[in-house]
Order: sequence, then C-alpha cells, then structure tokens
Amino acid sequence: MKKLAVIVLAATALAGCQTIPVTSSNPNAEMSRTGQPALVSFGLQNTDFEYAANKAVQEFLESPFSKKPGGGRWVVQMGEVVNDTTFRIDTASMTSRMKIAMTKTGQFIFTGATGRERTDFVADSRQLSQSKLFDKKTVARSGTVIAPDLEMSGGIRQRTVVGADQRQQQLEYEFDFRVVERDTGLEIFQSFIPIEKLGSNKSFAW
Amino acid sequence: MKAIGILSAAAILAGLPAAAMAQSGSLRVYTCDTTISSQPPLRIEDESSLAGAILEDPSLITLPNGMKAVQFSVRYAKRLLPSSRILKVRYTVDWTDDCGRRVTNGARTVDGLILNPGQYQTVQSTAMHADAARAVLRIYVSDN
Repeated sequence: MKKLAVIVLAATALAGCQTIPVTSSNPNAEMSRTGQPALVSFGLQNTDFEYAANKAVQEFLESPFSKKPGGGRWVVQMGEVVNDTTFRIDTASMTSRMKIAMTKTGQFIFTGATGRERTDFVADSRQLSQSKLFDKKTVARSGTVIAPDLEMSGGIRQRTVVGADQRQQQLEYEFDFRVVERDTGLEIFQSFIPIEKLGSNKSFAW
Repeated sequence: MKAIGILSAAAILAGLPAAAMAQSGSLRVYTCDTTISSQPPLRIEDESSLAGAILEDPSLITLPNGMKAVQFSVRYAKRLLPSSRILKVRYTVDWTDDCGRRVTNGARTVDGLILNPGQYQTVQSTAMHADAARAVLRIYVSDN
C-alpha cells in the first residue's frame, strides 16, 4: 500500500513537470514539410505567415474595389509594416507572401520605383543617358515610370496573456493590413488576421 | 444560361474562344484547351457532418466585384450534446476555371474553425483569382 502511494505520488509529480505542448489557432500549424511531426512554437513560423498572407489577400479580394475601375491592374507601392512584437522578425516574411499572392490574382502589380521597397535601379537607370558609355537607344527614357495607385501598409502586433494560476500563457498575434487609394485617400481594403498560441508558461516565447 | 453553355461548347469544338456571362453581367471570354468540365459548379466532400459538425447551406456565390466565393455554415450536432467536446473543423476549397483548369493561387492553405458545443458558424471562402468559377469544398473534423 505504501509502495503504491509512492508510485502515485511520483507519477503525479512527473505529470506536473510535463510541459504542455503549444497549440495554435492556425489550422496549418501542425502541417509539416519535413516528414516529421511539425514543431509548433510560440514564435511566428512560416506556416503562420503563409496562412495570414493568404487570408489577408482573400479579404482584399472580397472588397468591391479589388477590381480597378475601367480595367487593368492596380499599381501598388509597399508602405511601412511595423513589427510591434517582442520578436525580431523581418516583416518581408509576411509582405513578400502577400505580394506574391496579390500579383498572382492578376489584379495588382507592385512598384519598385517608390515606397519602402524602392530600388535605386529605376532612378539610377535615368542617369545612364548622361554617360557616353551607353547606347542612348538602350537607356531608360524619362517620363515612363508608372505612378502607384495604392499603398499597402500595416503592422504585426502581439499581446501576451498569462493564466491566473501562472501555468499557461497565450500569445495573441494580429496581422493588420490596409490599402489606401492615392487620389481619394480612402482606405479601400482592410484585413485583420488574428492567430493565437496557447502553451505552458514555463516555455519562453522569446 | 443553357443556351450560352451550348454555344460555348460549339465554339470550343470549332476552335474559337467561348463566352461566358458572369452574374455581374460582364462578358468573359475564355478558350478551353480541353472540353468544358461537366461537373456541377460546386462539389462537396463532407466528412464533418458525420463527425458532429453539420454542414449547412453550402453555396457558390458571385461577389459584387465578380469574384467567386463559397459560403456555408457549420452547426454543432445536437446528438453530441451535452458533450463538452470542442470540434476542430478543417476545410479546403479548390478552385478551377470554366475549363476545369486548377487555380493554384492560395490552393495549399487549409482553413478552419473551432466549434464549441451548441455553436453555429458561417464561413465565406473567396477565390484568389478572377478566373475561378467552380469549386470543390472538402470539409472534415480533425482528431487532434
């Protein structure tokens, strides 16, 4: 009887030490590309960015403004995307996926001439006409760059909620994006994608 | 609509572009390199209803901007009550154009919802390409 009590006590103590696995509200969180069971962590993972990007683009496409009046593609410039989380993340993990999905819809095209993702290539190419090295017929002409119609910007936010018993914590992420139209200044698309992750308070999220 | 379908099939057989009238009223012209799919516009593979998440009123709609979307509702089955089991419902929507060609943009994403006892939820899943015209909704309840 005494032995049984010891075993039960030990088992209870060990069960207490067991870490609670992290569960995510992202339906793709447990999908693995490695052939091994997927790792789900408190941090933001590839599957989170993929899921949020696809959902965000879907929400944009539901807008009555997703098709450009008069036809053609909207020219979009990337604005600022704020990382307001405790993690050092490159927001391009999110925006690149959104840009790919939006471009594939055939309704949007992104510009490299203006905005946060502006490349010097466009402006520098105009300088080449002043050099004797280059064939004038092959250099970029002035007045050919297409101005953006829209700007996409947003932010990734995080909140941490700890249970009253200090055993569990929940990390709440918000992927908040908006698109503003140049002429009217109106915000024509919005998307707000939440992802929640729940796990042991003993696991550090950062 | 039937007449347009016959005309489209005839036009394809003749090697000419076919025309389809979207619900928005705009004329869409497309060329099929295969015969037109004979499948209904919305097909459903429902494995969730038997597992307790009852699929209700699935329909294929056209949004005011001409994009297609699948709408459906999921209801927690009364027969499971008074259970405290939370159901993890997962679904995918695969889109094809009028010719039956797959629309791959956004195709790899599994979506989902959590259904608590007694709960009812409505979902809309929008196609990620303007050519998407037909959909296959696969819905199931995840065990883990």
